[in-house]
Amino acid sequence: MAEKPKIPQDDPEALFAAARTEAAQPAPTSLMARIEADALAQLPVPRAYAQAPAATGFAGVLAALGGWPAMGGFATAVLAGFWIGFASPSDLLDAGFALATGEGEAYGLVLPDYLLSDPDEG
Amino acid sequence: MDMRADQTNLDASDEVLLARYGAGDPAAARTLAARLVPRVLALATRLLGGDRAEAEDVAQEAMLRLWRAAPGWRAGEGRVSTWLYRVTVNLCTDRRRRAARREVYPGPEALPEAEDTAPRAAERLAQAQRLTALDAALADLPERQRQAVVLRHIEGLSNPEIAEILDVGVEAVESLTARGKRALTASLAGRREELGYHDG
Repeated sequence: MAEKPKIPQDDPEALFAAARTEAAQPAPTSLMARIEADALAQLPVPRAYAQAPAATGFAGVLAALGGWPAMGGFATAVLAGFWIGFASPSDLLDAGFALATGEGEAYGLVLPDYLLSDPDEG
Repeated sequence: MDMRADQTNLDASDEVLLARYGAGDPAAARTLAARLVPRVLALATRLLGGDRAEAEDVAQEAMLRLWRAAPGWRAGEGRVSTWLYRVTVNLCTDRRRRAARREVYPGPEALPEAEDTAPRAAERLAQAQRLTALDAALADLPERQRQAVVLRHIEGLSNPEIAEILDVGVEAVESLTARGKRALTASLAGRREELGYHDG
């Protein structure tokens, strides 16, 4: 039998390189369209707060109203009280803890500075 | 501070994008999908023996699970990509088990025939042949070795990240990738004999 020269199909590194080239291709647009449709269907849309606030939590209600910056102090307190009444105990603890540790971003909660300062210090 | 509205999604990490999506921002999902889907699709394609249609199904299912997980995702609980890779690997494992019962794997005879001699077509053909050869050799490996080899040598992930995805220790990953690559090399050499490769 004649000598067989080393060819790319023998060499794992060449095959891995081929696979990496393949992996760098963008995904088919049809697949991306289906995935984006799923994302929209699953989107945690801010709904009127009569509908399932427990699912999206305070974040959904807040987003619908324009976020913390839209809140005056009194409106904020009213809203907070409303949510406290609506939320399950675990939601309350989670969101409160997230606010206190500065990770409220994940809940769509961004505290304005005046709420973070100590009122006794002025 | 409300800089969210000013930052582009392109600058944001996967984790921040997922949080934005979880807060109701559909554009964040589009950016995240553009980043993650090609990688998930590539991983699934190699783990499923080159079956693109099955790989697309797996990619869509994995992303669906990500969208559903978004509202409950906690910052600092790990990387989105690691989570998504793990879901993809597990979905592929399930699919292979079901397929094995149906015996649907393409054999070496699935190699494409050379029909067009134009240079770009020749390169495309060579690329297709390499992938087919790789997929056939990967199919010979035990499942964990195949997964470790693909995650390490094609996805380019670190051993600690692979350990997290496969839910094994880092030393186990090192062993799996080393044994897997040796087995792959042996399988390729064996197949060359069996298939009678031509170099013309």
